[in-house]
Amino acid sequence: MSVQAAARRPAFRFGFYESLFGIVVALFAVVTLVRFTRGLGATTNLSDQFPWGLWIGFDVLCGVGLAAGAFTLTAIVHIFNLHKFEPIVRPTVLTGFLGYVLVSMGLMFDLGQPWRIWHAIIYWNPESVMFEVAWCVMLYTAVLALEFSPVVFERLRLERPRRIIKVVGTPLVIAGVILSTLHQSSLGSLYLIVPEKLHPLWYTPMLPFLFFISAIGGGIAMTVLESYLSKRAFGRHLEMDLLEPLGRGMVVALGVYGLLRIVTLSGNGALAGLAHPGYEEGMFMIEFAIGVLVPVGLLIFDGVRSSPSGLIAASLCAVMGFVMNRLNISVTGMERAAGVRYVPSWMEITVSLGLVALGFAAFALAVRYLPIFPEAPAHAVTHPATAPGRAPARAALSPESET
Amino acid sequence: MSVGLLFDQTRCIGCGACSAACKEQNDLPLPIEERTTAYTWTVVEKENGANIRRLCFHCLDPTCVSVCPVAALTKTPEGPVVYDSKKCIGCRYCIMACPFGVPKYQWDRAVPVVGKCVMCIDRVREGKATACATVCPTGATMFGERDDLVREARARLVNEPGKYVDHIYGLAEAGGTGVLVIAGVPFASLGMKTDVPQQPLPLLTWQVLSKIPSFVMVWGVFLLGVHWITKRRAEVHDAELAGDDGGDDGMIRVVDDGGRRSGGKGEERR
Amino acid sequence: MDRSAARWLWRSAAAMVSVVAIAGALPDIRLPRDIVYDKAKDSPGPVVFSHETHVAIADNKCTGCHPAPFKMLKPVGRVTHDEMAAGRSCGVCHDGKTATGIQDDCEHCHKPAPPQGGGAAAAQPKGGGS
Repeated sequence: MSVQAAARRPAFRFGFYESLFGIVVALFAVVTLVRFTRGLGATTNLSDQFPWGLWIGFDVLCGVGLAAGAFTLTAIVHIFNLHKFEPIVRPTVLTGFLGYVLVSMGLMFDLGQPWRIWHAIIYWNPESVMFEVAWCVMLYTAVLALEFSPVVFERLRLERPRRIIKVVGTPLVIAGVILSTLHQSSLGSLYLIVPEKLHPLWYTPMLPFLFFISAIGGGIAMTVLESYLSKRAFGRHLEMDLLEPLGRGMVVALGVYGLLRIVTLSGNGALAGLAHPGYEEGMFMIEFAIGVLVPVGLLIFDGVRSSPSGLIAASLCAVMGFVMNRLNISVTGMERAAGVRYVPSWMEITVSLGLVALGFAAFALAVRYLPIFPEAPAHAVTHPATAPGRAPARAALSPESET
Repeated sequence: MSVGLLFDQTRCIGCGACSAACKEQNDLPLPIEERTTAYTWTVVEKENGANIRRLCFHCLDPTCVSVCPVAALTKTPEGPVVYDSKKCIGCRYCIMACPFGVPKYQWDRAVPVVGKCVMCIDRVREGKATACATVCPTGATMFGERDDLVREARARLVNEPGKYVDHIYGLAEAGGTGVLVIAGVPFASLGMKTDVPQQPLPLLTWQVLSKIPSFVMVWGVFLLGVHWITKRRAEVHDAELAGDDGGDDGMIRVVDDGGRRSGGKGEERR
Repeated sequence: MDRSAARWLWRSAAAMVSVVAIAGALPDIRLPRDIVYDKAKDSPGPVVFSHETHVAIADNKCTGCHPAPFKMLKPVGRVTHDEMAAGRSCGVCHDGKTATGIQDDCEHCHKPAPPQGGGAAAAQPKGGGS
């Protein structure tokens, strides 16, 4: 059964995932109503003492960071000219684009007056990190849309627009990498302004750099996970010959990140605090273990990197550690100074889960109706080494290749 | 010209006239709450038996002004830091960033805005004192030019050293504030933040933001250069492969790794 | 001296010291001057409002009257018996139960001869003649 055929299985089956999805979306609709009729106080556990919570810490900080696979992959293929990774560019750009759309939707919930989100276009404050993030995210979402448009043009058989985009391909990718570098790091810069509030285990002048590096690592991990989930959902095979080198990339990114964390922590004296572990110290150690030590420790070994389960386990840990790090920065690290403990309300959680669910659904719809994955037999090899000479002719059929 | 307020904690009797006048001047709804909120912009709290007033400090280089993405908060030339609710998108970065925890939000509204003391900018522009200073029966709140208030505060600390803690809060906090406080008990016991950095906080982010233009250029040139160099190598590698192969193993030909792994030919037979 | 006398001496000394200390420590309180409400058409006489008496009753808190029902910065400057009967303005307290009301002794509020420029003489709370 080909990928497209697999995706064209009957849409409505009341299986476990479908029911779960239905429940989450129904609750999501209810919460949306409450949020916009009764305000933030009725929907969230936010307060004057704790104005930013799950919707910033997860939806924005993690959503943007984990969509970083798009700029990383397009850079690898179009800037470093490693065209063998071409086949995974489309799904990764789709993930990226959907990620940024979901972040924008999440912001609609978090902003007090979201219908005014366009104000940043006419009211400028170049001194504000948030102004810069807003602009970069706006522009980059447009770039992602343009980078993804050839898929749509192909489907609609609009050859001329497709060729136009192809012409601006490389400049577009370069613009995307620059914009991504700026806003990925700026999400960290947001927290530079609260040195007396953010716990020393997380506050460092290197925050922008740490956010950028961790985004690369997180983005690659998400790319691996997305490949795996696609395999399970649509009968895709796992392109181990592409994912294995990405695994190496993860080792480098996470390794550099981990080293930098240790260096900055020893620099500001926070490492000494680990000798007397309290709540924050515990959270940090878990975050560091899951997000850095375990993935790096696993992926150093060739055997792990070339095994699908090893790669996926390591990537899962990296993503969990990534999410934990950003929640530690936005929540854990800010609680002591705020004098309050923050736990998201069930409504906040519903919105975040609902957005993720909608993202999955949108991805599935896109795969069903658009040429995201190149045509390849579902029973193709999962590891090139086991079937010599049968390496699928992916690149030749890759829509981006010269024909 | 930069006006400010001097709050002498030793003179405060906790009568609440300042809160009442503020409500009237800014048309805020009653009641006067126990702590500052988006609807109560100043209160007198009792902290460890001592009266202390809470209000915006109107920093000289305000953090809230620097972080607002749509410039809804601005530092006026007269001194007060004011808020334009028409621009605000409700991102609450000002609430998150203010080192004194001043701005508050209307969490109960479907169309919420921020609320904080604006130092009666309308009265100031008419040459009048702030409402709170006008009604304060003991003169605990004084209005005037910041320089004059600093001098007055210093004079009081010098003339009655036993009465005051030897520190003018707001002289250096956050790089200096328009609202100064002198007290008869330690500031920490009054619930005031003593961990505020002694220089303006906006510098912390400006250090990074100001480097963006040059960074964009350097990074752009670097990426372009990498693309150009590696493109050449990829083309060369492709050409070599095309020249070497008999051509009938078309599948192998296009599996291309940019010539990185090893020097080159025919190693891709997997 | 015996113990009860000594105790008495200590206590009065302590009281005197406290009074002096508090009086010395209390900042000078500058209340708004007395407010004269001019005699209206059917009124038996002008009414002088004294802050001193009312602030003492309100335990040095201004918020009982301000900003509602009385503004501080832009006072209305006019009170009618109709308002008071409806429980507004002075009638919030001067309802006949909490404090003297409009049904009671007129001269409690309407002093026949207005004092010059306000001051301590007008601050006598009850029954004091002009």
